[in-house]
Amino acid sequence: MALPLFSRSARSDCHRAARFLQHYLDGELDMVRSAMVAEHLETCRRCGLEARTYQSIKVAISAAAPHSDEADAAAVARLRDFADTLAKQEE
Amino acid sequence: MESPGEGQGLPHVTEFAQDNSHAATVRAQAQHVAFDRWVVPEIPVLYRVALSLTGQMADAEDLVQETLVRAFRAADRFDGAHPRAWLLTILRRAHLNRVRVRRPVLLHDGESVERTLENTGPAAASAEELVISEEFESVVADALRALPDKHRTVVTLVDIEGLSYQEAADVLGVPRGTVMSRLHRARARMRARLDVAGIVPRKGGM
Repeated sequence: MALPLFSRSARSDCHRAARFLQHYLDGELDMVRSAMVAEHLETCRRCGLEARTYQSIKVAISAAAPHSDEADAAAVARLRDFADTLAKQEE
Repeated sequence: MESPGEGQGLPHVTEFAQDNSHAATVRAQAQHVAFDRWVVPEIPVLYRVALSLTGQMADAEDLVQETLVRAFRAADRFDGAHPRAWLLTILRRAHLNRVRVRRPVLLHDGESVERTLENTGPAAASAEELVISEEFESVVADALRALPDKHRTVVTLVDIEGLSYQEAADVLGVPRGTVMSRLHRARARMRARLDVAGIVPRKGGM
């Protein structure tokens, strides 16, 4: 925990981790801060639990979406054909 | 603009040149190259985002077709920087246009989004460790349905479609900060529901 942004006190570490948590979970944090948050979440039980709660929400949201892989693949294939036709028509 | 070296790579462009001006040939070649290079690879992403916006597969397909037509026509003027952002902006405009002429089809309860998941960011690996109960999933699904449309759309784009904040901002036509605040508020609401239900996630192996 010698990194400057995360070293003053346990409380300010938690505060900063909370501030960056959503960005961290969404992969929107730069590598340095991301490493800091990850380290804090490893050592702080409360923040770690908070992170797992939000991560679980993200996972549950993706599970809540109805899946239709085959239909999606068919639609994408049709759209690729459409793109192909489009390019030929406009020649 | 009329560089003589360009326009030699594609046979159809050469044929085209026989009865058209050189400028038109160059333009057509740039258009085809740009379309193949920048647009076609993004079709799966465009389709999934269109599904999030329209909530219906047929509408999503129509919307992507329209986006492809617009992108093709503009392809020769595209500079190659951030193709996904460019395409998402085109898709948003096409969507707005359609919404204007027709009654909007928003995400509605029960069948919010039909799509697949191939997300996610760096946190994806740790997701495998999480064991989520059916009850947890059910509360989150209810909370998702209960969100205001604007919030639910952002959650869908980021958490289900795996768009970055900036990409979601591009497709919604709002600043990145707005995406972030909607997302955070939406999650806080869902979190509050979980609190009320007294549910805490468990970690696998514990």
